[in-house]
Amino acid sequence: MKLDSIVKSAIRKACQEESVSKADEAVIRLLERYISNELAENQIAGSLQGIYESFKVGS
Amino acid sequence: MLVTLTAWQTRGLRCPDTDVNFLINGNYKRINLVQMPNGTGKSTIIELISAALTGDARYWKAEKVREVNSTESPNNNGLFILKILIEDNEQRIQKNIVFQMDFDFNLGTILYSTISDPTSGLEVGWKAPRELITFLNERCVEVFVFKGDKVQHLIAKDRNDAEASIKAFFGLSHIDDLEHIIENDFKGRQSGVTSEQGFQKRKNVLDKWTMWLQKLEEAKIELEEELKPIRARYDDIKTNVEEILSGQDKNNQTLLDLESTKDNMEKELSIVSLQAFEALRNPLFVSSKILNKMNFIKEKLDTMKLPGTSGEFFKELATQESCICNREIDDSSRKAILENSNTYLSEDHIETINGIKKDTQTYSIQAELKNSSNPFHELRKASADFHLADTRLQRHHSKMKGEATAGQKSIIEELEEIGKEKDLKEARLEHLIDNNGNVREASSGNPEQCKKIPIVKKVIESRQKELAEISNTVQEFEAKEKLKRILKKSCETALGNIKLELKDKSNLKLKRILPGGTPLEILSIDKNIQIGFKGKQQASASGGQNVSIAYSFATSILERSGAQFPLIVDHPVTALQVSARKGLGENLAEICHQFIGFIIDTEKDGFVDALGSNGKDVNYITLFKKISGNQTYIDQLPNNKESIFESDNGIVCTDKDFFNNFTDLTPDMSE
Repeated sequence: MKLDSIVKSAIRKACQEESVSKADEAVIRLLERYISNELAENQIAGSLQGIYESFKVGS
Repeated sequence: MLVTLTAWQTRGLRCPDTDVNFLINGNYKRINLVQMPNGTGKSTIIELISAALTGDARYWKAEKVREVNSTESPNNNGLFILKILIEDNEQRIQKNIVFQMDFDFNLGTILYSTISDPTSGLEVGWKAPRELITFLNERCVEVFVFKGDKVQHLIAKDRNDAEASIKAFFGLSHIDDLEHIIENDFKGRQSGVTSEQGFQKRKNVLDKWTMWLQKLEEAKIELEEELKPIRARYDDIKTNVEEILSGQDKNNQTLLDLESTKDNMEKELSIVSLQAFEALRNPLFVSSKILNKMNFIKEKLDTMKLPGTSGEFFKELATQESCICNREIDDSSRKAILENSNTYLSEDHIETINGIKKDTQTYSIQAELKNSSNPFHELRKASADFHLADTRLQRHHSKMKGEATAGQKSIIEELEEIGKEKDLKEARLEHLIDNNGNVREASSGNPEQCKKIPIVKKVIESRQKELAEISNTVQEFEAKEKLKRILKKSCETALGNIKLELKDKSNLKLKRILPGGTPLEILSIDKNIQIGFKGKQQASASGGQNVSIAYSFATSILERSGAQFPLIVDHPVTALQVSARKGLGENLAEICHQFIGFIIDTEKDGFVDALGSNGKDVNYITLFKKISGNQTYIDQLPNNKESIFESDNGIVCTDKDFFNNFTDLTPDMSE
């Protein structure tokens, strides 16, 4: 499922406020895949790790 | 994306066996009215539509499943089939989806089958089509399948139906679930310390150790620096002393002999020490008491014939056709062998006991052999010999010193003094660089108690490793919290913006439905829908107004989310006055792409005419039981057989005039 533009925009804004703008697409992808039931249990840790790594890159 | 309900089929259920089609010659009508007299099973059909879409009937209890069975002529089995059409022009998708529910009323179970992709055919199980997977859940389906007090629930102050519906349709309700998943994932990663405080505490301890290492290394350098002139001076004086002693030929030769003897004794002592330590490895040799006790245990084991045969042997024997004595093993013997096999030791236990017996025997022999040449006796002797050699050498030094001149004596004394200082400092240096010690024990204590540089280095290395792991956990904790904050903020922001947008959309629709000039609008959407006019809030509105608000809100959500499901409503206008029905009927086709209203005959007044006004195409369906009490309806059925579906217990008629003239003969029957 593709997230609604309002939700995507809210995620981008929240990432910006948390000084991790570069992580916004990863967060959007995580939520989209989770909602669509595309995220197998063993893939969740990997996806979250990816986001945490992108937090280190920051803005 | 448009989602259209195209047909349903019922067999052996509480409602009559019927085939109802909304798709006629490839087209469907926006407005569909299904007129069913009270007691025909309206609520059952609506509940089954919901259950087919959500798959929730998989979790129904047997009693609930059986409630769907016909009360008049109970069946063993039942069937409900729901067909929908998904159309998405942008994605060029057109899919016919089928949800099938097979009821087993004896077992009280329902078996789902689905055609979620026409190319893969009917599959067992409830399988949501990929395009609808996020919408086919109870919370979303509630938005477009109106039943019970849904209208009131959207407005009621003590409920959160409006917000929950928005969250469900825009994927925001998944954020709460995702938070739990993030937490669980973190639990799997963490190493115990999650707080910055805990991290800092450990870092401070590491800093203490690092500072202590620095001090020890400085002390080592200082000692080495101090030792340099001492060693040089010692060597100088030693040379002088040797020169002095070389002048005393006889004494010098004796001295050399004594030194050689002492060296030999020292070597011997070293060899015997090693042998004694080696002997200590045999516990039976340390004390005769241990030896006696172990021999006692071994004798007891031998007397009791332990460990004996293993349980595994008997278990294996029980699988054979005959015993080793050729006796046949029948079922009762087999059972007895298996039962008794549990009273025997396992292979592991047998191995351990045999090990104890074998070692007791081996070490006893060694102990006896060693007893004849006891290394501790030899160690005592070697130690005494060494001390004797050392004492003789010391005495000789004293004698030589006594024979020396005053100047020579002074040099010899200086050598002794410097020698002592050198030995002391060298011993301290040796301790500083000693590699032997328990790192874990040292690590748990105060750094200043450990004065061995290699051990301190190992403690620092271990603490650095631990800190690195904790540091990683702390970072991950912060990252996890950040992600949760991002999701929470996103949810709040998105929800706020969607609510504003939906309020405006709903108000536009509301204006179309309500009679012109009606002082009513949606003021805001919070957890519920707040109504009023020009900023002034009001607690409630009339039945018709509430229905209009609920339809406007629901259709706005469907439209805005991009998934336009049909609006399926039980008793759409019961609470409305005739005038209000007219307004709603005239505009209903404008606010949704498919409306399916389940009505009774008394709801037609005002509503049906308005729905069909201005040439609007309406699907008029009348569904009733084929029973003797309904013979009047049967007699009135039109001659056009194409508009009639007839089963053993039900009739569906799609004729408009029949629909309009239909009057419920049993209005007081409850469902």
